[in-house]
Amino acid sequence: MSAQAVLTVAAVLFSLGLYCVITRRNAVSILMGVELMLNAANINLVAFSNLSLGGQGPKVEGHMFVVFVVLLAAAEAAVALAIILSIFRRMGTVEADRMTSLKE
Amino acid sequence: MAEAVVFYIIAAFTIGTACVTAFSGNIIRSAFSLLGTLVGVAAMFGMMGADFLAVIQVMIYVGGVMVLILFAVMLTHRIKDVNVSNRSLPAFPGAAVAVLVLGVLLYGIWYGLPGDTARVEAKMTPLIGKALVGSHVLPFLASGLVLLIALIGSVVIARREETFVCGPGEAKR
Amino acid sequence: MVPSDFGKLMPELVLVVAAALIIVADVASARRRTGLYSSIAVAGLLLSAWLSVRLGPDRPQLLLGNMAALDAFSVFFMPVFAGASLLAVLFSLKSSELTKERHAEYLALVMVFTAGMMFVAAASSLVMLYLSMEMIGICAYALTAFNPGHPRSSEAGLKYAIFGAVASGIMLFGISIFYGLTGALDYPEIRRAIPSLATANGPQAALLVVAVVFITGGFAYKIAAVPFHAWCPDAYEGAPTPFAALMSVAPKAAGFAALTRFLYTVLSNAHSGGNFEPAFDVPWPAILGIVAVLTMTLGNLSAITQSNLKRMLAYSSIAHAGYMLMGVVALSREGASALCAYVVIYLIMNMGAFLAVLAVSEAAGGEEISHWRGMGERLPLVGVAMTVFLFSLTGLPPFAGFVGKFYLFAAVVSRGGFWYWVLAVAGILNSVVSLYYYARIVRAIYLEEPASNEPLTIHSSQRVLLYALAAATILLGIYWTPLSELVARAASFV
Repeated sequence: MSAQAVLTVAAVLFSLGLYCVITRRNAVSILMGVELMLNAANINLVAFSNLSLGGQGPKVEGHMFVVFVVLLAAAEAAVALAIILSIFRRMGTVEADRMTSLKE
Repeated sequence: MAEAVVFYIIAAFTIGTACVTAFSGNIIRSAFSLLGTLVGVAAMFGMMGADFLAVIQVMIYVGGVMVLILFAVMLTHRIKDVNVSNRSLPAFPGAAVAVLVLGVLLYGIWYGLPGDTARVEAKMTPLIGKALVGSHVLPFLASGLVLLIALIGSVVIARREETFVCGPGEAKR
Repeated sequence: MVPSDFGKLMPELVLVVAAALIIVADVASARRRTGLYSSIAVAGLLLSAWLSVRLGPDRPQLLLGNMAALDAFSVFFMPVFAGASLLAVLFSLKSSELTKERHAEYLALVMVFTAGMMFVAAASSLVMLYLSMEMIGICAYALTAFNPGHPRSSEAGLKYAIFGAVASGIMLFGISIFYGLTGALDYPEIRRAIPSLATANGPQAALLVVAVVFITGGFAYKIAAVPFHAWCPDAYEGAPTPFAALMSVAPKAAGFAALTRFLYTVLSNAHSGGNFEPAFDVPWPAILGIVAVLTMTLGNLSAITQSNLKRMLAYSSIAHAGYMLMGVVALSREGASALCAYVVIYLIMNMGAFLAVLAVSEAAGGEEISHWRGMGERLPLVGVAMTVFLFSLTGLPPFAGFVGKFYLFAAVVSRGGFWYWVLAVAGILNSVVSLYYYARIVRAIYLEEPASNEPLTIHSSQRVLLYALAAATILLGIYWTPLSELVARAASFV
């Protein structure tokens, strides 16, 4: 399991996430694309942390960063869901078209 | 050798499910295949010797974030979709951007970086524990604050209000 | 790690304690004591500002395992953030957009938001940078979607949150690659690894470009620069106006502080005479220069067509982010100090303009330009104050905005060289364009007939604040020596 293979998986995941984010218009789909990007970054962080390019053995920094990223992703998803809920509550099922009110 | 085979199976599974997430037109199918991707990433963490991260990936991502997303999917499914922009790129330029980025990344990874093993033998979990109360104590405390504020914020936004106010200046007093 | 390091984080800790007190006070009592919560918030912000001024370190230090920097630069920004939040709290006292039910949570979120901005400005590790940017992001998403009665508030919050999530995802990926190339996450160690990147081979240089572009993209989102500016007008329009006023100034200032710290201390080599040069062969100053020009041009051109004042101010704030970016691109100590000066001046004049919009929209019933018709007769002093803010935003003498822009353009021009001249000329042309739409409001105030002649009243506390901000705008335009001394000290951090 070479680092290059791991990083390739991460690069592919990131590109898929980027594609998802660029082409989708649905908020939840974009959020899923973002999760792909975050996971790609996490794989990178762990792999690079283990690689220790500085030369003094594996470091814990990258692993620590992943802990915080996972935590923040959860917090962010919670707030996003709360906002979606409040939109849902206000619009109910009928007025979906009014979601366009902000657009020029 | 066996390790490599297992890794390639996991990698193929992760990328395959991620492809379904990115390309599928059905949002429920996307959401469930994202679940597969997250589990695959957790398995990759495990293979790289990051046991602790594999566990929190499963617990927080699969158990928490994914449930939130599925919840959102079920909700928004009924209001068709919650669009955030009217200017998304069509599929072709979007794919072109993604492929360009991928090309640059792969060129850099395969020609610019050493091909050492990404597996670490050292026990990382005790190191993470020490770092949480040592070198990383500030981000640790700050992330607790973020969680608290996210909790307060989401409860306030999502709870039902008895009294609604009007927008700025829209008839009051 | 030294426990006493926590003593140097007092400005942030005070705000967190204030937030906790507000929440506890809200839970403890059945009645909603908005006044009590607001006093706790005001006291916390004042205390925090006072403590941060007193911190004033003799020499730069790094706290808690290189996570946060305590130097003249971060200490300069702390009272700025506290002051901006103080104004926002005072604005929200009499705002009809915030319900009593939610006031405690609103204030608590603003407190944590302020602490988060202080962390952003001080962050000296990519972990802390990412974490604190998410902290202000999460508070801002929640606060934007805070107004349940406004038809667009939650949509704006969602749009903001999604854009923010995308930008932070891209930035995080950039950070992860950057980590791979340098093997470190805190600035001093990254700095040590940078020289080896100056001689990077082709593939590594490609990765480096990707990393720098992605990280800068995350900053561009925070300061609402092109191409990550699209969230800005919607978020300001949907957010409660007091928070929109805060958001148009403070998080941008935080983003600029973090960007300046990252670019100047990590990606640049210092030269004699207070100038900096890129430490490796990626032309990021040129890219940022182009972004600056695009940002101000796009902001100004889009502002021309707006009829809603909050949207117009949003586009104008995009344009102002472009001007401020010029100070960063100048890559000199002079540029950094011009940026600091502009942040202070922009805070006063832009929050003043938002307060005027808030007060008049509550009195006259809306925030369209048409509501401002004949305001020179109906509320003469408010009309004068708004005119002061608008001319100052344009950059006309003798108002503070002129001083700020003068410093920025001077910093850019003094770097010399053809492209810096082009940048300065683009900035001046943009100021001329901006005069057009600011003057439209002034024309509506003085030259157009009012829709009705009913007498209007605005709340006396808003009136006092409005006059104070207008007076400060004029004062700083005439006598700016203290400010220039202050910012010169702030920019001496590297």
